[in-house]
Amino acid sequence: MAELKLMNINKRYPNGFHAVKDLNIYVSDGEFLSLVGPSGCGKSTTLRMIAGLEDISEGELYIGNRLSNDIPAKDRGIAMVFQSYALFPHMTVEANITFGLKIKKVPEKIRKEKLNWVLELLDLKGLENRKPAELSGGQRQRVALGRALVLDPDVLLLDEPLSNLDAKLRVKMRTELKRIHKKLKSTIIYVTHDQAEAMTLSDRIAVMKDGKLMQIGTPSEIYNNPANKFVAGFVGSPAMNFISGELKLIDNKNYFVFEMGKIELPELLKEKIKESIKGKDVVLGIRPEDIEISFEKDNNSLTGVTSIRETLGSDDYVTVEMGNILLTVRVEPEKFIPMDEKCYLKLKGNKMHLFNKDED
Amino acid sequence: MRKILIAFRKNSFLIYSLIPAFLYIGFFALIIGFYLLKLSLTKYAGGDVVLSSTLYNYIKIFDDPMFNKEFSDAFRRTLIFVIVVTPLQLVTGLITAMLINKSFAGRGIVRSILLLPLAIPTIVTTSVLLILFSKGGHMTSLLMGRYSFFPKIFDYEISFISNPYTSIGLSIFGKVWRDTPISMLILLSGLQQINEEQYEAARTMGATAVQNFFYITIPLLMPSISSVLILRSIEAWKEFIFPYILAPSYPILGVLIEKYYVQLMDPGTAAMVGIVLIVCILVTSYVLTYILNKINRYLIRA
Repeated sequence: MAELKLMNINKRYPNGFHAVKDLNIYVSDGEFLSLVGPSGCGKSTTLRMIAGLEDISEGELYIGNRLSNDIPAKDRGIAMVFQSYALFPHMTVEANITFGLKIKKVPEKIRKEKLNWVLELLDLKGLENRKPAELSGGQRQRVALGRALVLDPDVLLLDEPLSNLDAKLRVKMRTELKRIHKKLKSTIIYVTHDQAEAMTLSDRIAVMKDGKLMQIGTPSEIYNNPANKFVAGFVGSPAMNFISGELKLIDNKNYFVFEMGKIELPELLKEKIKESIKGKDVVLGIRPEDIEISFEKDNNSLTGVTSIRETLGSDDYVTVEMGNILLTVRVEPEKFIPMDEKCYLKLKGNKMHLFNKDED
Repeated sequence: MRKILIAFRKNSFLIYSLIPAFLYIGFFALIIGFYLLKLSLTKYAGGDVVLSSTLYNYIKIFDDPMFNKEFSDAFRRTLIFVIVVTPLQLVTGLITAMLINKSFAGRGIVRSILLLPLAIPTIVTTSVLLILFSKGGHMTSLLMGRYSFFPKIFDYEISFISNPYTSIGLSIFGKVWRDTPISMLILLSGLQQINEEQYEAARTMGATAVQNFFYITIPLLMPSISSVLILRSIEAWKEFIFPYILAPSYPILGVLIEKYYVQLMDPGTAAMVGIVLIVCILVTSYVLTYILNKINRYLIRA
């Protein structure tokens, strides 16, 4: 097991495309870190650079305490699980899992021991002699994982390993991965575009966009204190509500003013307002669960019209129209809410976020 | 009966579409094979049938010392031809296919050049080789220093065509050059089905390029490799035109057929050689499949 350090990592492709920009990430020993972001944000490229499958254009990569920029993939002490699994279709499960050991000339006895250990760990007993084509998606996924685990990697790299599974299996494998990580305490870098996966699995999450690191922190930090509008919008489902408007000082109190009304901002946001956003156009962000819906007028509330109710079972979401602005509000499933009625929305003061409009 | 009729009606399109295949096998394999066998069991003399339903043509191989020498020489040459040409075409095909499989500037042009031998009529290829290598041809002139740009290497004229080794060697060269594109295309289609990520996965697990080649490329290419080896070995066994033109004094079995059928008007002996070729081809295909299976199993074992 080892720690991992990425220092000012850059990736430029020969065609000039700047895929990863000044990436600085420190992953401590045994940590589960997710790289998350939309397609093309550079998360897979970063993973491939750590794996040694892509050259690092600039910057330094340390695995353990070794500068690893020029160390070939096979000597980095990493193992990788690919999105497509990349199992060898011509080999049995056993041959697939022990391939790396065979290449490293590990004696047959130890190979067998490790194979049995992995088959046990991943619940693959009895499938040793099958070919990948004869396995289900979940089984293939576990073989790919097993193939990486037998190598005792210092750092385990997972490139969207669950994205080819159906929803139910994905949730199951999520738990499975968590269990394996707890048991093996290996350092894991996990690439995904699914923020829910990142939230449930990781010790920390690194959110990327356009090759840049947007924010890195624990799932709750990312969720509760998003650094910018992009992170706020990317993490959480349904997504955070955004309202464009501007800040105004009225009677020595800060107000957020937009086309459909105004809200007094809590003391909490004062610092932030002073620091950077004052005078500029801003965006107010509020998560669906931080809005209360009521049908009696209240101080400092917004007025809208209920329009659609979506039932998810454990939660219900109501869309409220305020002119052209649509807000998603979480409501108790049992609670009766009439549709097409005028309603009042109260925003939880300590859960409001303010972002620069232009900044991502 | 009713059941059969219903089944027939259900699958009638499938059954009708099989008719061409049956006709093909019927005409081109069974009927021709039957007549070939019948012909090989007929003794001819001076263009006339003397005896039918006889093993004379086969027994002649062992009984007639003159024919025995001619046949065994031709058989030996054919065997050498097959043993050299078949693997050589696999190697040249694999090298060119792997070259083209990589993307590089000017790949299209290189691909066209590599396919060119197929587009040139074989008779032209053989004629060019003949002009180059025959007595007084360009190659002897070149080696004797008759061209100013090349140093003199030999004092005397070399006759490539009348030497058993160089003439068969030339035929082999011509054959391999002409047919490499076929092997290349078969192997290229196989190579393109291999997912690049498998090589990357192997790399992260510690495999070198050589190990990648033997543990991933070769086993995944096995279907293409066996097609190439079997098709090419069949072609090599029944080769005619290259040795016919380039090694006229050293016939192989295919040339022997022409000699007996056309020149000596003995179709019986010609047919017998043809039957021997068919048996050789069947045996070779079987042996090749067996060996390839063994190799494959060795490479993919745990």
